[in-house]
Amino acid sequence: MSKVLSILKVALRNPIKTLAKINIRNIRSLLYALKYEDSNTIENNFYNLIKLDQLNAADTSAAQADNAHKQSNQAIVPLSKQDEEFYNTWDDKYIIKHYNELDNLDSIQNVIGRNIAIIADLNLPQCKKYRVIQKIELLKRKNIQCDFSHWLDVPRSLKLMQTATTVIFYRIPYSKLSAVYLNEAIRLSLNVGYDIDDPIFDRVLYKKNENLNILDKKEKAELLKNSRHYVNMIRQCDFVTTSTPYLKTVLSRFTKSPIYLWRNLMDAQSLNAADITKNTSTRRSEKEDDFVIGYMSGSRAHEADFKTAKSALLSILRQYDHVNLVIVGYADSAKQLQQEFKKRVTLIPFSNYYDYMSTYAKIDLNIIPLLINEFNECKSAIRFLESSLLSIPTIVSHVGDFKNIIEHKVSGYFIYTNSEKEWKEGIEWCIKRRKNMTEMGLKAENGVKKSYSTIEYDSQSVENQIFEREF
Amino acid sequence: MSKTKYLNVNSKKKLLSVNVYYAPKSFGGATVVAEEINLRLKNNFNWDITVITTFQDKSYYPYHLKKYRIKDVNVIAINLPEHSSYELIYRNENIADIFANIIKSIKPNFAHIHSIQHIGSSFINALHANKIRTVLTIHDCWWICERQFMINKAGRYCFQKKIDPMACMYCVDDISRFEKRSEYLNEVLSKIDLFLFPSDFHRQVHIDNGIDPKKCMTNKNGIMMPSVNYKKVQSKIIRFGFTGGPGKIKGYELILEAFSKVALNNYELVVVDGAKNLGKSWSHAFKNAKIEGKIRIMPPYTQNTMDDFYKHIDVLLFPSQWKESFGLTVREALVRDIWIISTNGGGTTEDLVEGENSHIIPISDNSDYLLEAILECFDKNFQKFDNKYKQNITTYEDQSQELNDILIALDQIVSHDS
Repeated sequence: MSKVLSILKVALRNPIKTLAKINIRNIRSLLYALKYEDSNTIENNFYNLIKLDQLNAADTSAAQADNAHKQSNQAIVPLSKQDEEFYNTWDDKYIIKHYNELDNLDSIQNVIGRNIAIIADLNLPQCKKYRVIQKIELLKRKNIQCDFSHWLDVPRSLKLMQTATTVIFYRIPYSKLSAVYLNEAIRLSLNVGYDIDDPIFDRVLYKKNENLNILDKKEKAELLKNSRHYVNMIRQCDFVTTSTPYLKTVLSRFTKSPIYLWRNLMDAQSLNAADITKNTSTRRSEKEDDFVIGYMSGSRAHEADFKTAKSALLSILRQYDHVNLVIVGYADSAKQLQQEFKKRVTLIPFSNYYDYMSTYAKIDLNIIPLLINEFNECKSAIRFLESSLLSIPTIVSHVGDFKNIIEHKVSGYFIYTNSEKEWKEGIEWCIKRRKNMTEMGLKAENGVKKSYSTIEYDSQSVENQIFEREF
Repeated sequence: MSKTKYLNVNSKKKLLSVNVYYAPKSFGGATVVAEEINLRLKNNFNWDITVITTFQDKSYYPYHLKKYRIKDVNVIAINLPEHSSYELIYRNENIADIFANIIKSIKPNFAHIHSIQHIGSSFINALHANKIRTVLTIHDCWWICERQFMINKAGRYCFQKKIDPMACMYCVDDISRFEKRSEYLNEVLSKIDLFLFPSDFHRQVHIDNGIDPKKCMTNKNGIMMPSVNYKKVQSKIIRFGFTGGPGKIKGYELILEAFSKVALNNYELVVVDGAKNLGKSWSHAFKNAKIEGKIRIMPPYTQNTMDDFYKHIDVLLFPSQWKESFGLTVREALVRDIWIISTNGGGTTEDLVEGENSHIIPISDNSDYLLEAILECFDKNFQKFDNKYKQNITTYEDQSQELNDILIALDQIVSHDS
């Protein structure tokens, strides 16, 4: 509460300047700050944002001059604007004090042992699961000491780095704070890795993502502008890990450091959730009268993807009375389907991972429509892996990592062109061959369990060399 | 390019060295020994050393870590909380957790523990659980006496051989917490593979108090040898040196009392103002002394500047009123051809030869023993005094060589046992 008051105090004193400075990025920074900073810091930084331009500009240049000899690639990001400053300031005081004190002594020379620290943007729960906790699980299974922290939790991150031998930054942008993290990593002689699982760093490619069109223009521009902060981080790291072979290729245009494939896998939680589902739900049989198609949508950002199969689905629902549709998560356009088909279309909001996994037991076919574009080429095959754990067959657009993992008509069904005709024929093929579909589901399950789980995986899923070379 | 410096994962000579203080804040004799030994173990015997120590800075969160490199080794310093407690000084699970993490990362083969008050002994459980060969050098009486030096409430050495907890009950502030401490520390001591002592005397004290003699070895402390250019500054008057400060236990009162009875004035009393290290001064205590001779106050010396002190004295006064575990000053003086007047106190006398390089007096309130020894000095000619026994003094090279051999032998013995 005192944090909110500290903002209001400054805002009320300078109402006009405050209003002039409110934009999405600043509000986001404020929300982070409310979560992680003390009220004094918030008040100071907020005041810095709205105080006179000249004063602030002078501060910035002095701070830059002070750090000029220490920060390797600082010049790439000019911190001229006040807004940049605000965005980049949150709170590096703690780490700066530590860094300056120890910078007077010798840097660490010979690193002994093995300990991995993951310093990550943990704001998206699915990213935390797939890119952070999964790594921790895999490393722990290999008996390698490791831990993780939120990158804005500076004391924890800094402490982890002190005993680490390798640090992996996940999805954090270049900022004043990350610049000191990099410096500290170099002082400690750590091997520095960067993990990224979406092409957020590639402005040109990211722009092609039609799913972004649901954002307003300014929001989209903001997102695209930030891509350079990610590039800046990637270029300063000793190695990079990423989730799909295509992303590996994209990344190789940005860095000469080694890039390792580290796929999203089915982890102990996923396996456990599948197990719970198997224990608590009865498997649907081939003899059921109805046929249920399931669409699982992780976020709002799949609207354009869903539309690629929407008209085919409409036509199927109109033609086949026994076909029902279950939709989990966000899908605005699905609501229109519900209006027409009432009880034949069920909408289930996303609640938690275990409930989410149990919905696979309610369906006969998992449908994954995706736009075929460069952005989706980067996509991993999580939704296929998940449904396969419960031996539910998948029909999916021929794009992304699905292409590498699924064998057409053996462990899944591909739609190559996304045409309405192809989608309709594909779905019909599945509806009419229920026995084949059961086999397809079992094949998929075997394949996933053999090569794409944290318990059993091969170098195709996580490139083994990383354990010898980087950890 | 990936870095290829992570070569040490399989080294068999990885050592965790633990001491409450470490450079850049070198404080106390054990700290100096730990620093000098680590430097030589690393450079002469190729050990991979990680030092764990502490610091205190309330502007960081408690248990914040700072890793840095100093004196050729990597150091991880743990920030101790601002407010400690009786219990936290000997038992600290937070620090044990930090150790567990470090052990699992580094996978050391050995741990060498020095002074650990304030670090607490709980981390030894983590070493034991991870089967790390653990060597403890006992520099003082912290493990068997909550007052650390067997100096009682009244400021006197307690002279117990086998410590009777019934006697200690009258000396401590709180009996039950004292008992809990002893119980806990004894349990931890049972997890140590080998005990080292800076003197035979100190070894015997701990054997008398229940430590298995088979696990106890003497590994005499080394000392800093004089520089090759070291040469005493000649003087017509005798110069007596004292490094102890105005504490009863170091014999300060006895010195002033004895000199007040010396009717000569052809001498100088050279005292080191050790309190300056802590931002204070002892000079007032000496300036007002009523003695005939001249008093000269010298600033505190470091390992590198000690020659500047010793070259100005002929006799070192060491009338310590307790039984020291080693007696670093006495050895530093002996190798610099300085005559010693020392009480018969513990490890101090083990390199002294009565009448040849020193005069040994009893621990006593009576200043006449000291007076007699001082007066004898006026009949000696110190200008050409040469200590014939100085080659017997252990150097840091000797100590680290011996420690290296001990660690390697221990590895074989413990492997054989298991």
